[in-house]
Amino acid sequence: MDFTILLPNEFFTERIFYFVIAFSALTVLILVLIFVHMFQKEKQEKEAALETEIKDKAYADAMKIMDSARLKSLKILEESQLKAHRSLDSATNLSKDARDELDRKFAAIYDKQTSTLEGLGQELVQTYKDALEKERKENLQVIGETSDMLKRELSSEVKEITDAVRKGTIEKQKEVDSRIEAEINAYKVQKTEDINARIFDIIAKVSDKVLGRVIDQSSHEKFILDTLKEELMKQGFSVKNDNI
Amino acid sequence: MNYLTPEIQAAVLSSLLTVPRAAELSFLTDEIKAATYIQGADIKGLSEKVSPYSKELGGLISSSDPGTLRALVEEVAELIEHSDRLKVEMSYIPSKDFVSGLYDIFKVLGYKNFLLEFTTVPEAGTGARFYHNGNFIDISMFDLIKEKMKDFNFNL
Repeated sequence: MDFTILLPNEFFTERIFYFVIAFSALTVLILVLIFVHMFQKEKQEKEAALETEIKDKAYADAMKIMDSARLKSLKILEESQLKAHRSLDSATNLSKDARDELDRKFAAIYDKQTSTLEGLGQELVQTYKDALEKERKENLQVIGETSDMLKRELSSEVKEITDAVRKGTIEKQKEVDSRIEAEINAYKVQKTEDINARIFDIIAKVSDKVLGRVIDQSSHEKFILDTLKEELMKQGFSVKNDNI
Repeated sequence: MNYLTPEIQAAVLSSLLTVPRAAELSFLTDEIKAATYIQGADIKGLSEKVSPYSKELGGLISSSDPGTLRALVEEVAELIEHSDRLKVEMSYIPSKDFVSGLYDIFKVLGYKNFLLEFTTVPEAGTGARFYHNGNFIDISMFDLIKEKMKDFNFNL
């Protein structure tokens, strides 16, 4: 027989209450963690965009500075060549052939210097670009690693909370089960005692009635006297007397 | 009391045992007292009627003169009036042996100068109830059977 149906349903209500509380707390916690994760991710994206923007601007500024420097170098070269021409023009002791030869050589030097400067500028730009690209890759790697680490930490934290809630729920369930079992056992003992008492009553009543009809007066009087003496002795009176 | 010594008082009440018998003796002693005022009354015959109730009292009455006799019966009346009462309820009128045995039990317990007062109560069934100065003892076969069964446990 299932005695649980005879018990009050407080235990079941209490159990449902604990389940609802535990799962509500878990849900709220998970939502908070998701919100924090999203907030962090958005913040990182913004920071990355800002960093890229700053780098691009720095790159543009550097390019401008480089162009300006190259133009200034070319201008200086040109001015130096003009000065050289003027100096040569003022020299009267040079022949026409020697002067042409000298002009060609100056032009070759100018071209060579110009190409060198251009190559140098492009090489510098390329180096700068490579450095920027390398830094960008490193930053992206760091951001990726940070994101992974955050994910791992969040996952482990959620797992720990889930385990704690599950453990707490299981322990509470065990506690409730043991309490129910104890209540059922107490109820059984009480019912057994009640039933025994009822059976004793019935037997005693039947015996009393039967004996009342069967027993003769002298036997009954003897029973009363013996019982009275026994009762008085139980209460501490000394009534042991063989003559009685 | 001048004529009834404590020993005689105890002996008189022990032979009377119950209140109805004490009442009968009181009627008889009243008749004896009245007879002392009547000339030629059969005081001796009346005195002999006392002996079945109490031999000690019968002997005293038969050997007393009318003046002493009046004082003696007054002491008897006072003794009965002030005697202690122990009430017993039973479902039937008990036998003399039972009454005597019951009286002896209480005498051994230390009760003095008392009389038993029986009342027939059908509800008492197979038991008996005793009352004295607020004390109460209930002897019941029903309770006895229940007590004997206390150690027994039904396996359900």
